[in-house]
Amino acid sequence: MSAPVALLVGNPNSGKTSLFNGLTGLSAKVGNYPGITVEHREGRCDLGGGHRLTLLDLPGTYSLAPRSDDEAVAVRGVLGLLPDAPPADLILCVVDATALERNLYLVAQLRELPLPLVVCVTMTDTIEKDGRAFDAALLEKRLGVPVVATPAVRGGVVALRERLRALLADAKPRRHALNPPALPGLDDATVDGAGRAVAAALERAGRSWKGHERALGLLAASMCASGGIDKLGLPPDVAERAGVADAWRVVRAVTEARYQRVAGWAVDVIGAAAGEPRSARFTRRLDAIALHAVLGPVILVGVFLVLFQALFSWSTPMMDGIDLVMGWLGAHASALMPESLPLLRSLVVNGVVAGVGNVVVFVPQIAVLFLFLTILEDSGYLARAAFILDRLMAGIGLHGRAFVPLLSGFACAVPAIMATRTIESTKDRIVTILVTPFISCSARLPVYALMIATVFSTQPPIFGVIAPGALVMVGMYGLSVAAALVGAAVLKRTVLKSPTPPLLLELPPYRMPHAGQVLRAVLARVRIFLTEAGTIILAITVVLWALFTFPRDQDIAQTAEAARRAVEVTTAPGDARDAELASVDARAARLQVEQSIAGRLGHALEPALQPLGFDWKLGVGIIASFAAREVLVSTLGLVYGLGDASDENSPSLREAMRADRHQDGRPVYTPLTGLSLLVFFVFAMQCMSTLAAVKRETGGWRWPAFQLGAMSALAYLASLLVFQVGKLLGFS
Amino acid sequence: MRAPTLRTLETLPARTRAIVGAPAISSPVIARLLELGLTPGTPVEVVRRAPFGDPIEILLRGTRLCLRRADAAAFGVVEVDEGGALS
Repeated sequence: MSAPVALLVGNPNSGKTSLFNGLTGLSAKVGNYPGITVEHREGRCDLGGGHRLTLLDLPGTYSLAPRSDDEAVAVRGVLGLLPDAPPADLILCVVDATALERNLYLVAQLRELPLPLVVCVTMTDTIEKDGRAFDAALLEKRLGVPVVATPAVRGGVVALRERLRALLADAKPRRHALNPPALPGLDDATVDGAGRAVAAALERAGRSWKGHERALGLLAASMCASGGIDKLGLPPDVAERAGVADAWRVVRAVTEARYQRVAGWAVDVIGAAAGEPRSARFTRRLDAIALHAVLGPVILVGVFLVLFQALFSWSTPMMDGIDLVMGWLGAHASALMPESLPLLRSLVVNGVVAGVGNVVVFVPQIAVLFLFLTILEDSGYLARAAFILDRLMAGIGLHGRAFVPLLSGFACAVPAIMATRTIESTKDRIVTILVTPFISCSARLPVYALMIATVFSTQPPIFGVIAPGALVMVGMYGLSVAAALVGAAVLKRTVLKSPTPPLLLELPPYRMPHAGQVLRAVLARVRIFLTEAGTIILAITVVLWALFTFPRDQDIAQTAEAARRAVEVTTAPGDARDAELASVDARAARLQVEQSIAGRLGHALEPALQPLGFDWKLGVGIIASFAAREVLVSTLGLVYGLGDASDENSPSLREAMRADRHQDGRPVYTPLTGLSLLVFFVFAMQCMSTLAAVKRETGGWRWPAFQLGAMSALAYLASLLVFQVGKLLGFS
Repeated sequence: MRAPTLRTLETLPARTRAIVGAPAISSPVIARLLELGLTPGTPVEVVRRAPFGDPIEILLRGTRLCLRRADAAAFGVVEVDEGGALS
């Protein structure tokens, strides 16, 4: 027999996720609902005495009239309209004792429906610390459903487990509904008519709620007013028949009536406080500083500077460490393989080990970003940041919460895209995901540095003082920010047309983040990345390896082997011999790349790339840099016959590029070509890892494909414009 | 005793307590504000405006809620106490 199913519902910030974690321990699994970006959390809970429970954590919502896709999932879960979700045997409604009335409003809505409800009251420890008492028994008597106090400390979860076990052991939990409030002066017939339409739809979904048409009709009216009725996945005709003519008046009346009911429930449940409670005073005093007209923005900048610094600097040693370990692993794997199987060796070292390295290298930045983000969120500061930034972000049509991903994009788009999760509206989340890769990430820096060193460092200073390279660098960062902001504004008006997201932001009381919860959140993100995005990254790395490895040319290998032997005979062991051997290998590698599939693709692409000022070598570099943008540098090293160890500071690579000539004798790399390539890299989606992250966060290939196409087209057109206009203006 | 003046939630200065009235317009945001407890007759306190002028923060049924001034303009208020809320 499968375990009974319990749904966890409640307001955002009500401590729902902590309770879920407390109940499910390490069994929780995080996934996505199919096709939407809403997260799905499920876990098992052992109640003891042979009783088990499957627990589903629904997204937080203030009301059963959904506004966002997240809230719609919660409401569909309660109504039994989620596809593939088993019917709930229990509905646990989490209520935050420190915001009792507002949380009880959701309970009031739930109580009007025949649901097996259990109310779990969190934060009762905060109430008690303020010297007040929470009377759960009184609330239980008034609500007519079990009420359990579940403080975060001192065995709240234990008490809840015992109560749930007793409920399941005793009998089926009661499913009796309260009568919805009477609304004098309103047309009950229309409400009931809408309710019958919803009831019929629920009947089809296997839930018979006959006799509850009034409650369902009131719900339908609320949904019409909130605009959420289309999000429930009801058949269109139902949504139409559930339309309530005078919905607005109904909503006003029923909301007021429910709050009257709530006020009656809440009376004396929490003991009176002598003066302002301690917890409230703490939040008020901290906010006087954190939201101060002058200090507030200053603190905000400081907080984000630390975050940014951490993302850039603190993760670098870890990333370097990972590079070292992967290099060591590659060398050892190479030594373990028989020399007679060079292809297998290459696959393992340059395909598999390199691919795993490509995945793992993101872990430090993801961990650091989510460490900060979770602490900021759980402490209550992130809501304050959104409050301060709303005015600025609303200007580009985005929510204040889009700021963190956009800022993080300067370090790396992969963790930044994973951080869009905190944005409530799906459309705004996708807009942010789509424009974040425009922001110049740290992987573009080596490309910028190489091109600037190659073509701009030799130019005379502008006005005698400004180095042209510095100007170009600033220009590229400016261009990338402009691209992201303009891109967001354009997307908000076209493909993802939606109004500036409304602001309904709660500033939760400041709370000390719980170390265990923070760690869990960070680990969950890392695990999701490794399992869902990591596999894609690994697969593409192997594909890229194959593009650069096949077809094998035996002649090149044999010629190189003969040359090596000749060097070994003619030159004495020492540095000179090592240098000559390296040069032989580099030449062989260059020949191999040129006749590989990627090399041939580069040649085939040359006619298309020439109008941008690029030759086949850059074509090869662009293909290779799909692995990660900085790979362009080492690939250019490879095609210039310098081996694959070049970086943006290698003088030999710079010299080779400067010396390179077209067939007609013109230099390949001019300031104009350099600018064209830089602009290309600002716009182009040259990063498989970002695409893998977008696929994971949007739950499909549709948006990453759109992003790849649109950004590549934009990059091509922008480079074309730069090069052609530059030529017309007489630059070469 | 001063006669209560009719104003909207938007125009109230910081640190003012007032009783909200029924919203003058209907929109999904207003519907949600009602559901968050901003029902007619509820006492609220305007805590502050955001550093850049918008949105505003109000104290409502013991919780702190932010809303844009455009939305706050839909709610008429009867002032109770100006400037003395935090005294």
